[in-house]
Amino acid sequence: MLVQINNLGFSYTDVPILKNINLEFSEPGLIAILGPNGVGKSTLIHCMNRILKPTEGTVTINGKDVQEYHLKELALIQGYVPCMSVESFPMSVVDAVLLGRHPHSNWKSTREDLEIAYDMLRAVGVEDLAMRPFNKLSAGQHQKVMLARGLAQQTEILLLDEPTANLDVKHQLEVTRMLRDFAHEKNILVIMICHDLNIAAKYADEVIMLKDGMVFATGTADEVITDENVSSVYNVNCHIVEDEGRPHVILRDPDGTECRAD
Amino acid sequence: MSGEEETYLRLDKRRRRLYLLLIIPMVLVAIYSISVSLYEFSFDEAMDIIVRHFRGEIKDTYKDFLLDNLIFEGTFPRAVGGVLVGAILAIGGVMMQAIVRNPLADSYTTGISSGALFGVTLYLALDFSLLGHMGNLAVISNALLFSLVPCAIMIVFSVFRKTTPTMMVLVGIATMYVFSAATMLIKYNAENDVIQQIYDWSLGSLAKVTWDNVPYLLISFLIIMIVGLLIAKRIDVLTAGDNCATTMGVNPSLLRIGCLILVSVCTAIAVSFSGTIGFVGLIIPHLSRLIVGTKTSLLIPCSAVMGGLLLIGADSIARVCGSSSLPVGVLTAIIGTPVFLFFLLKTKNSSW
Repeated sequence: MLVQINNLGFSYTDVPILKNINLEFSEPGLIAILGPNGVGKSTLIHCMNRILKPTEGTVTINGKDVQEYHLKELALIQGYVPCMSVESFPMSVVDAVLLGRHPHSNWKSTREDLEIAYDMLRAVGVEDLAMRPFNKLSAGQHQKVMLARGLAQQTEILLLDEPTANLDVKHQLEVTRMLRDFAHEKNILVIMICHDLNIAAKYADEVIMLKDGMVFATGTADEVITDENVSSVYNVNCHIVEDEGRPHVILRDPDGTECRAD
Repeated sequence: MSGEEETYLRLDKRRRRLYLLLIIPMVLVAIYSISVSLYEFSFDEAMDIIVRHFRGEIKDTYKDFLLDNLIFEGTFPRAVGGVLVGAILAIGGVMMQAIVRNPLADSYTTGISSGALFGVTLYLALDFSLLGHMGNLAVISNALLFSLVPCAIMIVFSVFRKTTPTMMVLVGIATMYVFSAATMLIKYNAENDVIQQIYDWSLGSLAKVTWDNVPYLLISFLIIMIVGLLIAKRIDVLTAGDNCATTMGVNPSLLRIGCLILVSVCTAIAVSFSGTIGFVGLIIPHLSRLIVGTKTSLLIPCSAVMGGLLLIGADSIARVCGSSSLPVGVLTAIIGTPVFLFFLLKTKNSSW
């Protein structure tokens, strides 16, 4: 697979949100996008999967502009897991996951689709919720089911908007590790937006840091998550230590009480 | 394949069987309704007349002649038309609720009913018709064409910006107010007997359905049913939200406009023959959801059967109520609502 983002820019009004983004992904692996609130992380992902149309530049997958893909064709190679889902009619969890199979089948779900849906529910560890109504789950369970739906789409590229936002620490580790293993075993490109620098540092193969709508730094966690970068991008005081061979950020607040990011 | 998948498939099959089973009471009630009239004759007599009519036997007595006329120009087409109108309104409700993602939506949500009433008022009060002056046909064509105005406005809107569910509802409400106000204004200056006629039409009744209407109703039923089933999975995907739908290969704006046109045209045809019959399009989808779950591919056929059953059942009762029958629209609301509330209360895992 080859994903190229060329001179990408996006603005809703006159104020640009993304400016001059140039990125290229050719290897499978787990990529983490970091950056402060409102920097344009979600906008970047939305420009990649056609939820938004870039106002400047292009995103190409395997040499073809995503805007030129048929939506269904694009849905076969690129999946998306949103941060939050809309309230809707109370469909069962399996049915919600089965939606992810839509690009593969036409007007009827097959037995194979059903098996894949259940396999993915097992993969994220929520198979016991299968027959429960999707809108009656806790935020964490909900997020895992949406993850299962993204996985059930079986695409070579998977975009995730804060997949760990509603999870407790144990599940944050589990889910992110699963995403990394999934990327390596199945040779897919997983791009996730993440707010937890330490989770990103622990598992991501590559980290992209955005600032003011532009790419501030890219590279391995060691290269990107440094004292200078974090304080410059997030405007916080921090101290970076090494733990398990990866950088670990300790946030500081000299003016207030000390706190840790964990 | 493990047990869990089997359980799911079994449940799916059971739900499918459940709505197929519902066809039996629907057909029975529809057949029985043929013998229900303010004029007294028994079910056996009615069946006897029908059999003899199809055999082409000569009507011996004046009474037989009258009954034959009563059945074949009255209750028989009314039964067929009633089932079709009920089914169209119910399927329209299922699709509307899904595309505007709102449990309060029904087949009239975008202002179809107020548009139709305005069209009818224009003809009855001001003698204005878009298709010449052909009496009943002018009423029907006016109702049909004006009920499509809100849909046309939506289509124009969709050229300039994305069609969000909220916008669709707002456009519907806005056009509804304009049409209602215009209707009021015309009625304010109209003669008493004209006001009565407009009022009668607005109540919604199956009494006006004749054999001539049945082909139109049948065609619009078949279209909304078949197209609905073909796009059922896409509608399911749309309920996951516009962004998700886009990334799962469904264009939300396009699907929404497509569904809107489909529902508007089919509902408008039903409305132009029967007037606005409320609550079928709102409540049947919810009742069906309690029976077969939320999958549109099951909801559409189940709602069609339930809608037909409710409307023809209510119409049968309405016909013999009082000395001069009741409008069925009143009865669907009176019967439908308590039944619906009861089920809503009983089901713990229900929608809202």
